[in-house]
Amino acid sequence: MADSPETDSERLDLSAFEVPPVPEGLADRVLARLPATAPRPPPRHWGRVAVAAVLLLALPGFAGWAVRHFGPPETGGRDFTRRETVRLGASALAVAEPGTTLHWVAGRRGTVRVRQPVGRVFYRVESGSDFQVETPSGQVAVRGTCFTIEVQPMLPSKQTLTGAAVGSLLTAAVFVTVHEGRVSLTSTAGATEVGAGERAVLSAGAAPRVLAAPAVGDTAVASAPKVPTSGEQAAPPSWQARESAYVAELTTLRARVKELEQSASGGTRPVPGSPESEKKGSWLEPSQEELLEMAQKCQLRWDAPTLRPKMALKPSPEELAKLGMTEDEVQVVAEVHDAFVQQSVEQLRAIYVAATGDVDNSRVLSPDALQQEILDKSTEESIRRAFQRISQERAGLAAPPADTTGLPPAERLARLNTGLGDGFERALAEKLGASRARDLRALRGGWSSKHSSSQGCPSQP
Amino acid sequence: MGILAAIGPRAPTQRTAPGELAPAVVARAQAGDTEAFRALVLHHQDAVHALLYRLLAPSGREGWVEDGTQETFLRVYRALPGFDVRGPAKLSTWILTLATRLALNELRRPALVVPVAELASLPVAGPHRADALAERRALGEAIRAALGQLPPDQRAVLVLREMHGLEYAEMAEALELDVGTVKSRLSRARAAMRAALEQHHG
Repeated sequence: MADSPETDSERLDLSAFEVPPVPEGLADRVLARLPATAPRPPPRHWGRVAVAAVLLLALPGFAGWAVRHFGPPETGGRDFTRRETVRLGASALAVAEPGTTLHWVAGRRGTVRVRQPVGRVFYRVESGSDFQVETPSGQVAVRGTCFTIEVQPMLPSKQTLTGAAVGSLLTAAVFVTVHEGRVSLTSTAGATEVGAGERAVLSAGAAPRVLAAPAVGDTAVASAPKVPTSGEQAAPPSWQARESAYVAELTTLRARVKELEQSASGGTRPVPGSPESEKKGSWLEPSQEELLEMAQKCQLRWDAPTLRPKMALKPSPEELAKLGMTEDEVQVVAEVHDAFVQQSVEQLRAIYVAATGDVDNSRVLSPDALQQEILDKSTEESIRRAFQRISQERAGLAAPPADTTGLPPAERLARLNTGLGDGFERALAEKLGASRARDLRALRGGWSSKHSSSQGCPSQP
Repeated sequence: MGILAAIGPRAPTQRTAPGELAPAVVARAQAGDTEAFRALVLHHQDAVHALLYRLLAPSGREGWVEDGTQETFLRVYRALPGFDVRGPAKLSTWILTLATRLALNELRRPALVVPVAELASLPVAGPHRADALAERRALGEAIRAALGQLPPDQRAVLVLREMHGLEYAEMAEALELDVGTVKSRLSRARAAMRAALEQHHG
């Protein structure tokens, strides 16, 4: 094999695997996420490193460190007895649940250091902020994101009690759920990064572990185990029981994903136009037989346009030619998409308010974060029920409700998500005609975001 | 062009990696000049986005490509002051290295996103299809599906070599492997790719 790729005779031509264009405005979004302060070159002399290390070691504590590096800080500390929203400096917001204790120091340059010894807090941090939360089991650091930290105190084991004071041995299981962006988790035993839609656990003496990675915006898959709310804290499940639940859920989901991946790998896919394909229907338009089968499993699949504004479907020149579409029509698609996104996000906000009672945050959270919080406040059973009802309605086994406003938030969310594809097609049909709207949706086998998922049927019929 | 034409030796694919950015602009970006960093992002975003798409989309993770591209550039920003412009590594290769490692980390996470995007439209192109455009699209989908069958490490080697034109030493640096391992991994990846495409269109 020649070293230079250009003269490598064994080289394969893979250029037919084409890549979509870079999303518009990507550079702007990167720049919006840059930290407020420019990064510094790494130290090049060990002597300077040693001096810095000595200085750091000489610092008496956390607050002193912040004071010396960032000038007179804004400090605060609270024990929360009810759900409250507090500002942490100019760039971060925390929604603390009852039973939470927080101490914070916000420096002049936007640096925020928080200590959360106990409780559950939802954090929203502006892009570019230098934000860190210290928990009993390790640190959580971010640069613009929103996430939840739940610290559950654990009783020390009999073994660890031997020869030490009880108070100094209290440990905690710290659960971190990331709604947007990424955060890094560091404990004495290691570090890891956690992405949007994932949960991780920090335990004293152990490396941080990612527990599950539900699909962002995917109602079904994203329904991670419920995080107890304040009302349930009187009798919290044990940490071990929660762990077992997470592991069981992961095992189930992995098996499900494997099953779906196998079905998607080509082995059982029918050839379009074949008798089997007729029987099976298309992904976008499942046959009645498939709908009944899905209803039996409380399974749903759906497509949806992206809920990011200014990100409407843009057909390629070849696709435009194939459809006979004009540039004016492309512009109409973009306008309809923007209006549709606005309308859908408003509905999402209304569901969020119904689930949390929190009007202020409904205005600032992104669609993904709104969905994650709604699911956090919902039971798995309510999500299973929603899937059961909707799948039965699709198969013609049940009539849809006349009014959805009184339904549980989880079901309203599931109905909103699974109806986005049809809703956008209808909105386009009003402007471009039903035929054009259908052609656009079918162009790539459905709108950009496709989901196929099941939570299983509810335990009680 | 038939599907199987992709399997044999071909003319070199055009490199996605762009030329290098002017050293003065890089120096300004290293000093924290935001506009210079914007220029750097604009200069390299096509290659980073394409690399991440090629590594992630075959596993049904298209949805993470933009986030990954943003995250790559945030890492570039943080690490840029320590990049030695006079060192052996080209800036473009160094950036692709960061992107590759990020993608491999992502691919190692539990895959709970169901890759169903291709269900509706996976190509089953007949051998006598006349439409060249449709054939090329079918070939692209077949390549994507075959890439999806490769383990992430082999996929990374193949994509970096065939689609981004990296040399062995650069790939070894990016993947933290020795050159011998890179070559053997590439050889296995090519063999698996050929077999997958042959089987697909048998």
